[in-house]
Amino acid sequence: MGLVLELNGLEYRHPGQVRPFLQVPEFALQAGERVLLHGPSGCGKSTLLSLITGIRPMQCGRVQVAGQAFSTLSQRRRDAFRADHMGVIFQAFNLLPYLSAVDNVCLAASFSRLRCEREAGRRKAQRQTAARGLLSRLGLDDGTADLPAWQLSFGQQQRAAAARALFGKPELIIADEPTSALDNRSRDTLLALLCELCEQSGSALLMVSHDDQVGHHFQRSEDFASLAGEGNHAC
Amino acid sequence: MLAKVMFASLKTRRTSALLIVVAIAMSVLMIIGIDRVRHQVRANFASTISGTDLIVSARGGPMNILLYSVFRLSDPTAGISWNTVEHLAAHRDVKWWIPIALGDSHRGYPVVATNDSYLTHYRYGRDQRLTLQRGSWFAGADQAVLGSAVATRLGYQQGEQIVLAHGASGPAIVEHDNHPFTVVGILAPTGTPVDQSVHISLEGMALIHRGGAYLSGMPAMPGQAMDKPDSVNAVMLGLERRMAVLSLQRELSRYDGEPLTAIIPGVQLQRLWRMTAAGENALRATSLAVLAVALLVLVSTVLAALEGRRHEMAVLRATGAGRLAVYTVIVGESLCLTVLGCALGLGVLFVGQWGLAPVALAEWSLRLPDNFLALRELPAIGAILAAGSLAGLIPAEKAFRNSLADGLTPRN
Repeated sequence: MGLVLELNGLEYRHPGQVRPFLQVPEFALQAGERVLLHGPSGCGKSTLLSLITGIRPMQCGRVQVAGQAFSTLSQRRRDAFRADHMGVIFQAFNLLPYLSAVDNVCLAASFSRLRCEREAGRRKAQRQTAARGLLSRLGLDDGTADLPAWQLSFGQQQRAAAARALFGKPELIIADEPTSALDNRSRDTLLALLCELCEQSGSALLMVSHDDQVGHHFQRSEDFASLAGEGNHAC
Repeated sequence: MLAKVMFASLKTRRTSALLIVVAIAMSVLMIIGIDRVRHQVRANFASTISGTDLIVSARGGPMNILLYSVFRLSDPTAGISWNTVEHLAAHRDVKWWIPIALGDSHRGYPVVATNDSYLTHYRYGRDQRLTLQRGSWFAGADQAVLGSAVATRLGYQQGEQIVLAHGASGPAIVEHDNHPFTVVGILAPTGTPVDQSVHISLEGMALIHRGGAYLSGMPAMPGQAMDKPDSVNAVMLGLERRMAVLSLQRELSRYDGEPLTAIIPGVQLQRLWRMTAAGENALRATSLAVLAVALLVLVSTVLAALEGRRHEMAVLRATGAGRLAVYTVIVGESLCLTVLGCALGLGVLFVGQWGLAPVALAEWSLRLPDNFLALRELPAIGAILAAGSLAGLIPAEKAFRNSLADGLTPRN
């Protein structure tokens, strides 16, 4: 298997600033590899993830995802590509509060035919069954899965978010401090589940966190500052 | 799925959504309502009189002739003699004629002295004839027939004795109180000045003016017939052939007996309407301003709501929503609100005009339309819908740009 993510000469400046806020000369992720980037808050971890997912427009450098020169695509094709090949988990507010957990998971399928077909058939009922299956493996039973998301506990919301990211076995899962608001036990349970499911679906996982105690869940753990190269940015 | 997201999201913001719908409904109500009233007033106005080809009167301004003979608003000029009336009645082009003698009033309502032709030949609206709601047309010199508004406002029934006053309006200075009239009939409402009139026979008018109070003590002039007046104020003519209108009009302006003016009512009605166009334009400007305000409310509310929806947008973007999906959700929402607003506004208008129609006809002599939506209103509705969805474009673009700036973690 090849590389699922490859970064080259990435630079990001905030508008009106001369010094780059973020510099990543080189970084790569093997297919199915699980990597943790840890570093203090505010050093640009989330910005990096925004650039990798293509939500924030790229200024300088190259991002390649699943063999595709992602950063050279148009915004529209990038959005479609993200829908097909990436799952994203945020720190919080992952779900649309007015939809049920099941519908939140199915949301991923509604933007990507590829993931929809990979996980289940095209039919809505099949999609819902697949979503429920995934949720139950993450510990959300059917009754809970039908509640509107705002009624779920924080831990349950993060599990539903993980289910959505995993739905349709995308090549790359991006997680932005998904466990920072959880206690240590819930944190470890969720991460263990997430890693297990990533393993099963063959998805690579790139997670950033300020908490380097979670490193043992990952195959590789890197300091964000070392990623940035020769001290261009004071972390 | 996007539709589900849109409706579920709207449902969580239903109070503000409802307010927008009501604001749009109000402006639709105003715009279409004002347009309908404008249209209806115009239609009412144009249909005040129909079928009459010429109105002949003593020489005077055409507008003035129209105002007093049809609208009974202005003071009549000199009368035309009965000889002339007989000449007109006998003219070969004339099919029917209606004499009109004015000058008296009853408690502010003009009295029209005429004959049976008024009932048989007078037409208004789309060739509608006058009908009696109750009772019968006058048959004697002491009988009167009331327009519907006169009867309702004054609370008169058949058999009521009424006394006429000399003078067109204002406080009665001289009353013909020794010659009271009996109400024998009440006309059905027409939405025209006929509703505001008291109708008596020419004989009745002749009688009160000769034997009435203000000539009391004076004997009727010998040789003068008691059954017809010596003059009337106007004669309405219906012609055998409409082609003859212009030639007869010319012929009458050169009439030997006395100076006459003949007007074509339709032409004068149009001229009069054009004079009131300024008011009409003001109404139209008002309704456009109302629409502009409603759309501004729509845009600003959707924009204000966006701040609270940044997380929603970030979630959608992260799961793969592109520009099209963001636009669909936001523009779809404003289109949906606009459609609901239009439907609500039209519904309220429909119920309103249905409920108000009898009152409007009786009180303001205004016929209200009874349709839900007219073909000519479709462009206005279309413009409102288009403007409503365009109003969603600004917030949609802003939402998309926000999401680009926010990246994965929106800041509140």
